[in-house]
Amino acid sequence: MDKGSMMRTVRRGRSSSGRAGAPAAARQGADWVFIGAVLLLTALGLVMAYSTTFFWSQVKEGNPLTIFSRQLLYAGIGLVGLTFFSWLDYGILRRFAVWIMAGCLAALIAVLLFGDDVFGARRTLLNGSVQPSELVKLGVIIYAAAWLASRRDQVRSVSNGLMPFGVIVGVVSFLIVVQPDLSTTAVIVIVAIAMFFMAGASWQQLSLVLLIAVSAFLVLITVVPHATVRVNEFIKVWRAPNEMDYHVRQTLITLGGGGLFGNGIGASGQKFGYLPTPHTDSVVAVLGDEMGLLGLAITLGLFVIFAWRGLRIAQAADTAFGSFIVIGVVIWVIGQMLLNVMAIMAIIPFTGVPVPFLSFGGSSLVSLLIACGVVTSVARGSRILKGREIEAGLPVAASHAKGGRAVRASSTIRRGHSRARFARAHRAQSAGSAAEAEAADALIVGRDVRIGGALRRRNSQRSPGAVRWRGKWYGA
Amino acid sequence: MVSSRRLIILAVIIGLTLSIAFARAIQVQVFENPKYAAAAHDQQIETRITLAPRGAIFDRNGSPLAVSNRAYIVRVDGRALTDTATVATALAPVIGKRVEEVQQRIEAILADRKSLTPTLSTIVAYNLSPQATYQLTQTMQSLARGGLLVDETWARAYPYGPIAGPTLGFVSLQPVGYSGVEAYYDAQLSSPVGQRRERSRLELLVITPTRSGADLVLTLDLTLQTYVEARLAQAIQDTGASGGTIIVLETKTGAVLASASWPGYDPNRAIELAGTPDARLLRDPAVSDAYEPGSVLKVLTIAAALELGQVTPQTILTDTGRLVIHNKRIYNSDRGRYGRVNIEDILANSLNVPTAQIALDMGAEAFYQRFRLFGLGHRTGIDLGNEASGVLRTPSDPEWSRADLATNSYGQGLMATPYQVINAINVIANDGVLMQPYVVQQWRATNGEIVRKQPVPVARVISAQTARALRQVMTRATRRGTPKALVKGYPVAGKTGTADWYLNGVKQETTIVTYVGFLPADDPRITILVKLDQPQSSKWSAPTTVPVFHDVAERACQILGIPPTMD
Repeated sequence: MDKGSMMRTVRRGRSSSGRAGAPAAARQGADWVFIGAVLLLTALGLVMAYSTTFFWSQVKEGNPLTIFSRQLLYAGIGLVGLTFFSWLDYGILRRFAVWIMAGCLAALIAVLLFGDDVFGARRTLLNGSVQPSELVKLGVIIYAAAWLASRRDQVRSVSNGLMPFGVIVGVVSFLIVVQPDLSTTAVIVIVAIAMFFMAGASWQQLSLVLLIAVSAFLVLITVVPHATVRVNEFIKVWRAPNEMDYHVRQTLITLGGGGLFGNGIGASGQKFGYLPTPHTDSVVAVLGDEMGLLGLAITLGLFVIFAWRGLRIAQAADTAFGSFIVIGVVIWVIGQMLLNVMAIMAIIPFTGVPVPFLSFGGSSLVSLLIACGVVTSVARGSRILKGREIEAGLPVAASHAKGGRAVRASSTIRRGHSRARFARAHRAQSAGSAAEAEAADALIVGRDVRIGGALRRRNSQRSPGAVRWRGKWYGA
Repeated sequence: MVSSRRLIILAVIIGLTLSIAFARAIQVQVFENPKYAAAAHDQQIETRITLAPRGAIFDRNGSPLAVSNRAYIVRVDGRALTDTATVATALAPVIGKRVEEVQQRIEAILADRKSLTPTLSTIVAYNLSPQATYQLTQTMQSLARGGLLVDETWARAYPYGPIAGPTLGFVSLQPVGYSGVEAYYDAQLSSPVGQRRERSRLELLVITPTRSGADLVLTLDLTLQTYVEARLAQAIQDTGASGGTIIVLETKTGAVLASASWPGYDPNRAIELAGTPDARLLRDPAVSDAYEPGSVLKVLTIAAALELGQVTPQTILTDTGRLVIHNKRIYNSDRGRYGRVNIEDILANSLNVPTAQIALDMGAEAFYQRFRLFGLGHRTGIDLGNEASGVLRTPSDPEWSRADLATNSYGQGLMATPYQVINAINVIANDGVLMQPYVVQQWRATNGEIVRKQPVPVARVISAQTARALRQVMTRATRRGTPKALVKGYPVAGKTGTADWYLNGVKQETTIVTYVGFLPADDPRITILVKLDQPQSSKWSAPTTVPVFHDVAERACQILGIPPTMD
């Protein structure tokens, strides 16, 4: 990012926030358009949840509302999560990023060890009530964002950027792929690659990563039996429509039966035993049948608003960490939605990923709403990261250019309200040693807590710009 | 923070992918919509064969003899059923069987792999009432999860139980009518359109309403029928007979006013009986069992002779008391020799020898031609299932001999069903015309159309004058021979008959006795047959059947309102 584009960003950030020049303590308002899209999608998901479960619920539980009320409860939990994480300064997540990641890995290992077998796969815990891989998606995004934000310039390096990042994503992917859950793995890999790309990976790196990911995926498709079956089914759709697989055929019948305006909400006859999994994987087909092309267009439109406002928040975010989180969440939601919708339409082989917000499932909905809470928090800006930076006069998210590269400004500087501060920070940065910059990087990956303490002490005892790293003080 | 250029690239990738998806949505939902909508419609509308209620059966005054009630069949779903003990405990009180019995039945079904396809063999309970089914659903929280399937159906119920049971017949579970009216009118009674088209599994849409089968109105009079059955039961008790039949015909039309057989059966229990040795009871002996009627048929021989002018009521014949034809010796039943007799004497004393002589004089051709005209040797065409045709050997049969001609003349050496016998005698009562007896007089189709059956005259057998002359002879003979048959106020004409009982072709000590008569003899309204098998109190007809005939005739005149014709 050159200085010119940075400055444009600064201006836009100010005009949108309208809070330029406000005291450091200020947190901005939420993006209500984004929240509106999220709430509408959640509401639409609840409508579809009732529409696709009432009959089944009546048969199984004797009450059409029983299964729906579970989803309603999860929506409630999710909205509480959304509110809480909107209120919570997202900067705190950076401190806990390593612990979040550790928790994710522990959960995935727990699933493999103690999980419930459903349809020949281990994906859930506690009798199917918790599906950790949904929360893991959010955890991986937070960790990857923290990791990438801490290595702004090393991202381009193969040994310090690509390799470690690849190892982290690879470990998580491996734990999920052995469940086996190829679709979730695909989502995580896609999200990780996109974040890597947005963090500034070179085109060569990106090509390499894509090459590796695609070939690994092709190998997995041939190795995992049900994946092979689905690819063959998909080929039939276009090569031999008459031999089309039952599931694919029913999905197309359901979607195509809706026409322009649909058969009416709740009126799809396909969900009564003809269409498999109408409430989860095939919910968009039922939506298309009941609300028609119009309903589908509105749904896709809500996702477009989600992506548009999301990317805007990412661009205007006060820290790279926040920005990467938002990009991760947007890619997660949109990518997963597209994987599902395109599979429903037989553009790609059947994947089995749920549609964010619309598919029935508690873990997914709660994780998504929490993620949207974090996005809102990013939109409002972080006081923790900002405050510390100003106090320290150190651009926390800034990193030192290795090999004599120009020093880059961080969001904290951009949001540092004055050229004077920027200049001071710049000077501080320039004055700092290479070791100091490295220290900043190291601290970001989970030692922020200690830096906080260090900073306080430094204010009284050390000169500005001093940083403690590996037990020693630098620039004191 | 992030490169705007890369954000734009990301946005473009998202936008392009979304556009592809949306374009495909337009293709599927708009351009291919007719194809998919039709496919959805086709698969969601299921055509099921559902049974409409079978038509009801009424007696001539509108009393319901057979009706169809809503009922339920419970089948075992072999794939879902695991806990046989629980299911059996829930089922047993509902169907009134012991738990172990029900559990055994269920386990037998589960053991039989073939029965996993839904067929009759998986049925554990049938004809359950709605109340019992409701009780079952209350006991078991979910029938489907318990492994039970409940199908709606219609159960045949016969409100009067065994009354007219053999005439009505019964219905199997399929449901197909067996025996009697149920069999003969199966096509009319069963529903003409049994199809229902419904949408998906919610049964949202019923396209073709089902139509029930036609209702039938019988010629039977429930009051008379009930009395006749009671009187028959009494007669069985009084005489110690093993079985019996009473038929009351309306003389001029051939309509069956009452038809009772012992032992009958309760059609409500027919399906239970079907699997037991008692299954042999599930028939109507009056129409299906041919027997040797005996002297009753002397009337026919004399009618033929009168018609041919061979004899007149005044003709004097000589009874030699013994006749030998083809080494077969023929005697009168009392081995007596009556000398000079007229036809009235022959009938009054039931003389075999002069009757055989009349037949021999008439010649085989004339005799059998007439006997066949009387309806012997072929079916009467009555509208009841499983009618037997009887046996009448004629000169064209290799086993026939002239001895047969002699014995046939007094009703032996041939076989006839009770309906054939009464219908043949009814010719005399009906001024010489053979009628086709019938049980159903009218049916009401579901479209409101009412079809009334017209009496069917089959043949003129003898002239009205001959018939009248013979009736006068018979009336006098009855007064002399079986005075106990007489009913106060009504001249009665009738004839007894006794034949040997054969068991597996071996002649037994016991007999089979018949009495057929009609009244009022001057203008007959009803013809009555009473037949008893193996009576123990007497081997002769007069003391056993005649009192029964008298009582039935007297009560029939009261019930049917037949005015007396003499003081």
